[in-house]
Amino acid sequence: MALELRGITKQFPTVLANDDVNLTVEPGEIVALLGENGAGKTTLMNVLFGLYSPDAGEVVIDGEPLELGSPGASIEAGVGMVHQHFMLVPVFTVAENVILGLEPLKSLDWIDRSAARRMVLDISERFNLAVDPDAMVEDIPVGVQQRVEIIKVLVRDARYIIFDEPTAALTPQEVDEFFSIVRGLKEDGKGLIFISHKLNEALEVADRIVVLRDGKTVGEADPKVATEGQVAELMVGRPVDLVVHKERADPGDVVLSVRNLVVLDDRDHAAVDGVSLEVRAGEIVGVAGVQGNGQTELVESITGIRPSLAGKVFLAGEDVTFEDPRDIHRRGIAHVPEDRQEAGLILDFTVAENMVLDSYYDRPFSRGILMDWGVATESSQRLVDEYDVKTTRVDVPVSTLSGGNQQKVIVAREFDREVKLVIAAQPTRGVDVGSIEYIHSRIVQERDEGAAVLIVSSELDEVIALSDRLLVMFKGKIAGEFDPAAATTTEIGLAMLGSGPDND
Amino acid sequence: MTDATSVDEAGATPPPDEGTPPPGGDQPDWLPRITGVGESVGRALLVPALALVLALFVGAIIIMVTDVDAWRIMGEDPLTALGQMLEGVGVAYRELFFGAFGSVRAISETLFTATPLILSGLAVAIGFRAGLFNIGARGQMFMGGLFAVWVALHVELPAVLHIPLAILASIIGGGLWGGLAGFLKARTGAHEVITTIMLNFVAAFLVLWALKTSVFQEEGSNLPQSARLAESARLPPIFGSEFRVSIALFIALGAVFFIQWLLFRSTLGFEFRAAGSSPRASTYAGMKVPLLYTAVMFISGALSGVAGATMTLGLPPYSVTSNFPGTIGFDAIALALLGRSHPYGVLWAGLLFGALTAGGRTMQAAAGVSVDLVIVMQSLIIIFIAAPELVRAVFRLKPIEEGPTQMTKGWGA
Amino acid sequence: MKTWMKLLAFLAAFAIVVAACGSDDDESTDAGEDAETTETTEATETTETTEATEETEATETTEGEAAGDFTPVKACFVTDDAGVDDRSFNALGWKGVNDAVTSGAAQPDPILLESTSEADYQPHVETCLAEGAEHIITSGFKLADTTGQFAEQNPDVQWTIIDFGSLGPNVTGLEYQTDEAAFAAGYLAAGVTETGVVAVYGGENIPTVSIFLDGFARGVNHHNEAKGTSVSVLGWDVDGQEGTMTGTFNPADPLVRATCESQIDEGADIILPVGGAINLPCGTAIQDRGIEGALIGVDADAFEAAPPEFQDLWLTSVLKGIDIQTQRSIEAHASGQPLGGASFVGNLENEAVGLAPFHSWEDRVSAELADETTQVLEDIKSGAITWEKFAVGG
Repeated sequence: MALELRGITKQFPTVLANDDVNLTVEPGEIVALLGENGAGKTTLMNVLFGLYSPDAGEVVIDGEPLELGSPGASIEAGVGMVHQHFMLVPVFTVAENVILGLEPLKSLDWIDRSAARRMVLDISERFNLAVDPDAMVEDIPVGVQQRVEIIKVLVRDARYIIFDEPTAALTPQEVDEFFSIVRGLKEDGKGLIFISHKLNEALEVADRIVVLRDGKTVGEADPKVATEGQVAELMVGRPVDLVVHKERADPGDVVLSVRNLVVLDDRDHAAVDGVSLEVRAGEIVGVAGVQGNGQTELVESITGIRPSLAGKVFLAGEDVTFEDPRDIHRRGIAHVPEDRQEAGLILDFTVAENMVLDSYYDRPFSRGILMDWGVATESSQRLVDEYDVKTTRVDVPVSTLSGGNQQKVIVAREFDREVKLVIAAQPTRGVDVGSIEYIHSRIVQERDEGAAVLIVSSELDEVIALSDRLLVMFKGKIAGEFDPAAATTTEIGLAMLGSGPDND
Repeated sequence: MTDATSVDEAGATPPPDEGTPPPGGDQPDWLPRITGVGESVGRALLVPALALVLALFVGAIIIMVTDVDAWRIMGEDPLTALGQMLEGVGVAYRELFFGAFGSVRAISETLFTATPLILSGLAVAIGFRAGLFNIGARGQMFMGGLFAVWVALHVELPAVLHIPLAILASIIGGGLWGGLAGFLKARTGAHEVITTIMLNFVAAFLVLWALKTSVFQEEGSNLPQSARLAESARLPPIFGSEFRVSIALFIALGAVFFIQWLLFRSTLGFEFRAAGSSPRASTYAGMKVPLLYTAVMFISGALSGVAGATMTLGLPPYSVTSNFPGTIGFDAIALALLGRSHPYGVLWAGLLFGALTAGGRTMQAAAGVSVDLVIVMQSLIIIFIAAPELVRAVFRLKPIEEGPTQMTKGWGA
Repeated sequence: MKTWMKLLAFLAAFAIVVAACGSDDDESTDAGEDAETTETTEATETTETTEATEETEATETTEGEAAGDFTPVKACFVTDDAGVDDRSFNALGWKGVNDAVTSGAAQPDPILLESTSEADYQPHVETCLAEGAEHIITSGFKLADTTGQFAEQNPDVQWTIIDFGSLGPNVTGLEYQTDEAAFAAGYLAAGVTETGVVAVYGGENIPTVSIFLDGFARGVNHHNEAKGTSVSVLGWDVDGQEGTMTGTFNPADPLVRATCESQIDEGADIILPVGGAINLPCGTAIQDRGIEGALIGVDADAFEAAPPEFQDLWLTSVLKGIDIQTQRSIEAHASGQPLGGASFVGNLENEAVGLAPFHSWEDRVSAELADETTQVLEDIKSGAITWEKFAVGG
């Protein structure tokens, strides 16, 4: 009794995505499948789920060979997949979403609805998945939506369930709840595959860790004895330094000063509601908080992208509240946006074009209205070398680079000039372990060279590690200030949920 | 889905597992796919060329199937019938070819027909590059033509000044009309597809009305038709007055090189392309995207306006009636798609469509094949371009990316 | 890469082929309909009686000339940018050419050159000449400049231009004083209307369209004066010579139906839409709303020319014998008559315009009104009723 992938090989035109991969999951076991981006995790799981046909290898479920290349056969055989992006219809209720796509497909008449409600209630009771079957999916939090996805899989009698990056969109509390759900499923005898690149989560929840690199299984680890460092080394293929090394900060003059800033979001709600903060030269100030508490709008407003409703922003003593992004950029702000692919880069543009994306209009990259692509290319080549961006050439689309290297393109572009203030939002989100290390060291280097640094991240570990001073944002306000060296994760986590000491 | 995501599936060079939504902000994610923005030159040329082959093939089938005379004898003598059908195809395509390239007149007609197509195709292509779907080439042609005709009728100058002034007027007329749609998008968010379509109607009625006023009408006439344009404003034919191709061809060629330079060598073009690929990233990079929308729509409209000028100042017998843009304004969209939104691509596409149209006239006369077949073939080419997988499947080309694109796109996070 | 893809490709190709065949079938059906309606222009002032000929080959026409008298000429027909399926002058002109083929005046397989834009006119005419056409028929005023220019350069070729005056010694112009018949139609409509409101609209304010509107409106006014009624006409201002225009001859344009509906909203129950098939959406609107209304056809007898689902709607039609005169022009050429470059102006007198029978509205037109309408037609012919006729030609 087990799910076995044997010798799976999948060749894509340019890349061998899976090379003789073996993986076994037994009922009642949680296997974490770890690997850098592009290691072949997603390809392997798509083979298992029938989305791809492998070039070689077989899948055996409980002794029966699985018909490959057919999602229907995989579901039939008891394989379920909870995708990273949920496939739910926002304007349908939970129950409606659960029966959607169930065979035989009936119209949504009232009999089906009541049967669906019962089904949802049964399963949520049995597996302790608190969900209201009548709630509209668009009204429920992301964590609950994930439970709906899990229920959908359970309704189809899945015995082996794949979770693809299940914690990516969850708050820390939701992650804890998710882990307890996963453990419940395990006790019920389900075999679970947990795809992730987050080491700590894998170590916490898995019974066994399998690491993929370059399409091959490069090793297994026992979470009970392995350390993060060891697993990271397996993933990256070389020793990785997971600790941020920095000296004590030596703060100088105030560079960024934000006073009583109020910013509206796209729905005209005050996403930033009277925030005041200061960042001094030579210090890193971290802003932690669950996503959606105004951090995005705060950064957009400081950088001139989103107008503020009230309050002031001063840069080196000068009022820049109403300046546009270009003027602010010219004042020496380096901005690493949180949404790398949509806001930081133009994916169909080449590396070189992206390297000059916010400085193209001026010498040396252009004279008047004429671009000088020769200079831009040379400069890009230099930055690619200097910032260790792994790319064959600078005239390939930046979309062909891995997430980490894409991020390095942004970092190179933003840091390669006289920088007074660095604003980096989610600087290492979706970035592989090797690049995280590098990006962190560059940020610290900027600080040591005298820049003021503002880091916004929802990864609590990251802000704690990087910051010299830590602010927590909750519902558009600063809900607390901590010394990251002294405060505990629990304290900060509570503040992130609005029950910190400064928040009544 | 974007290429980026597909590549992710291929495991070659993925963006993060994090999975941000596809780039492009408020733009439809199919736009780059069908307009070809952001693809390599080799790939850009291959598919259209094969699409043409396929369209000719399907066109041949249509000619055969609609050969009523041959079907009549199909029962008794299928071989003769089949031979007759094939001969029909041969005659039709021979006439199509000769009508397009077989004589000086044919070449002149091909170039003459291609000229406004190239100009308006460029107009739509530059819009695509900036992420805008300009359906308003027709209206902009109307306005450009109307402005040019006004100059032609009411200004007295020697030809060396008169023609440039009339062309300039068409640039202003078309540019303002296009820029208006861009301005509306920039200021109010009104979608350019809607506004440009509506402005087409407004322009058409405006021209209809104007041609009935004494400003444009011939004295004593009550027809909606302009007076004869001044000789000095007529675009001189290149090969003598017997052939229609005029210096407008050089204007079109100049426009191709200018747009090529603008898009890929100038800072403004960089901004256009950036705004087209990702308005959000462009905003973050300090570009004023609304301003760019207005600017690109002005340039787009100006190109269409010049196309309108060539169809008035350059169309014998030089008196303008109410439908001088014909179907060019809409063909322009097809051309921009066929040319993959690249100036040189549009040039070739314009010549191809010009040849098909000019050849189609001869085919209609000599082979008795309806001119509709040419329109069907042009449409087929576009369909095959819009469905490159189809072309690849038929010709067994190696796919660019393998496997289904991400099937797991949800709305969740 | 995958078999189903290839299958899809072939399916797509097949579907396209089938679609093409389908449309071809349509055309042949259209041609059939046209053939059936050929006798319509014969129905002139006799509004009561139909020539009850159930013929399908109605084209053995005209003044007893035997087919053998003709030396068949090679004919070439150039449409304007509305194309040959315009259900209007292009269609009728092409039918006239084919009728000439049937009568032996034109050689078989006459050339048809459909324009899709104004840029097509010159090359099409040049193609006609290159193909050795002896008689070139150009359709519509938009071709006038081109026709005039090439007729002058090619004096040996005979030309006929539809809806325009003669342009030279070798050009026959065909023009129609259709307002005479439209006047009678207006009189009739004013007698039939229940709501006291009748309406007209056109495709564009061009003479060949507006002439119908003008005559109709004057006919309604004549009824008001003669009978003391106060029927109002929407859509045409006789003094200002302006009216309601859709701006398009494309029946699929939503503007067309909207124009008709707004007139229905204002109470109109008898409507004369002028411009090819732009009357059909109006017919649909009347049917959809279930009002007791009627349309008046133009050019040919719409009862027979229009799709059968509208048969109950035609009060009458204002006939314009483009097909007959086109045929006669070719026949005159083929029989060696001197042509002399005259403009033929069709009117009630020479029976090139007229009024169609009432068909399904027969019962709803009183005998009295029918007689009066016939009398109006007679009075126009005799000059007893006269007005400032619409100027034909350009």
